[in-house]
Amino acid sequence: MALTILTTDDSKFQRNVIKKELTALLKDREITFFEATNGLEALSLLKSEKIDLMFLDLTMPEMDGYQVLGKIQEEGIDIKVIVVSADIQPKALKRVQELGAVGFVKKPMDGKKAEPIILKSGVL
Amino acid sequence: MSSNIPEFTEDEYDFLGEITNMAMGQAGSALAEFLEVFVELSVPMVKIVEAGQIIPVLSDMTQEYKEVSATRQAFYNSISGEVISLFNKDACVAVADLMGYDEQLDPAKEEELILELSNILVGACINGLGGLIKTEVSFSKPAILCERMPIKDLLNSVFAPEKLNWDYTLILKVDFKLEEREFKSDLLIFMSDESIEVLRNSSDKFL
Repeated sequence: MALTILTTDDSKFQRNVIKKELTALLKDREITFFEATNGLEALSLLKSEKIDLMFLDLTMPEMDGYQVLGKIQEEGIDIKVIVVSADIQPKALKRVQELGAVGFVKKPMDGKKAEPIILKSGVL
Repeated sequence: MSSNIPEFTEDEYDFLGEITNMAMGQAGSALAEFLEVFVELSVPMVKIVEAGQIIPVLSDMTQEYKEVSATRQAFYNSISGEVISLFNKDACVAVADLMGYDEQLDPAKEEELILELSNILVGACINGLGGLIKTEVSFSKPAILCERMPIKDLLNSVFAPEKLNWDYTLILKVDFKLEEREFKSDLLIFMSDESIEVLRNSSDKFL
C-alpha cells in the first residue's frame, strides 16, 4: 500500500524540498503526497484523507504549527507529526515535543536527518 | 531605468523569502544561545526597490522604530552587499545584564555592545545565507552608523540620493525581539546586480 504523506508549509519551495528528500529516501515505497499551505487546510485533510505521516511548518498564516499540534491533541486525531522548522531554538523544540510531535528537523529538510525519526514513528 | 529591474516570479519570491527565513532562524538561534533567552522571530520581508523609492520603502518597513542605534557591515565574495543593523534606542540597557555589563552604560561601552550584537546577528545570518547556497562569505568589521538617532534622520542621511551608486537593490529584512525585554533589532540586508542573480539561481541546489 502506498504511504500517504501530508506536507504542510506556506512555502511551495519547502514543500518541494520535503517531497524531493522523501522520494529519494523512500525510493522503494510508493508515496502519495498531500499538500496544505496552512494549518486549517492541514486539519481538513487529516479528517478527509487517511494520512500516515505529517510534516509540519511552525510559521504559517491562518493557523500556525503550534496551533495545529494543539488541535490534533485536543481532537485526539491519530497522526504522527514531524515538525520542520527554521526556528531552531531549544525552546521551540521543547514546545513541539510537549505538543506531541514525534520529531523536529531543521529546514531545509535533509532526508538523512529525518530518517531515524521516520523509522521511530513506526509508519513504514 | 526601471526596465533594468529584475522581476521575480511568485516562486522566486517564495524561495528568497525561505532562504532568508532559514538564515534568520540561524541568527535567532545564535542570539538566543549568546544571551540565553528566547528570541521571537517573524516573517522576513523581501523587496526589490529602485533608488528613488528607497527612503519611503524603508520608512514603511521600520515604522516600529522612533530612535535607533545602528551599525553597517559589508560582506563580499560570490554574494556581496551590506547589512544595516537597527536596534531600538534602549536595546543596550535591555540586554546589558545578559552580556555582563552594568546597566549604567557609558557611551564607549554602549558602542562596544552594539557592535558585538551586530557581529553576532550579521555573522550568523549572512553565514547562514552563504551556507544555504553553498558559498563562503567574508565580512568587513561592523561600524557604528548612529546612536539614538531618529530613524527618519538616519535614513535621510544614509540614503541621500547623492550617496547612492546603484539603480535598484534587493532588500531582505529580518527582525528579532526578546521575550519580556525592551529589545528589538532589525537587519536590513542590501544586495544588487550579480548577487541577486546568484541568489535567484541557487534554488536548484535544493531541488
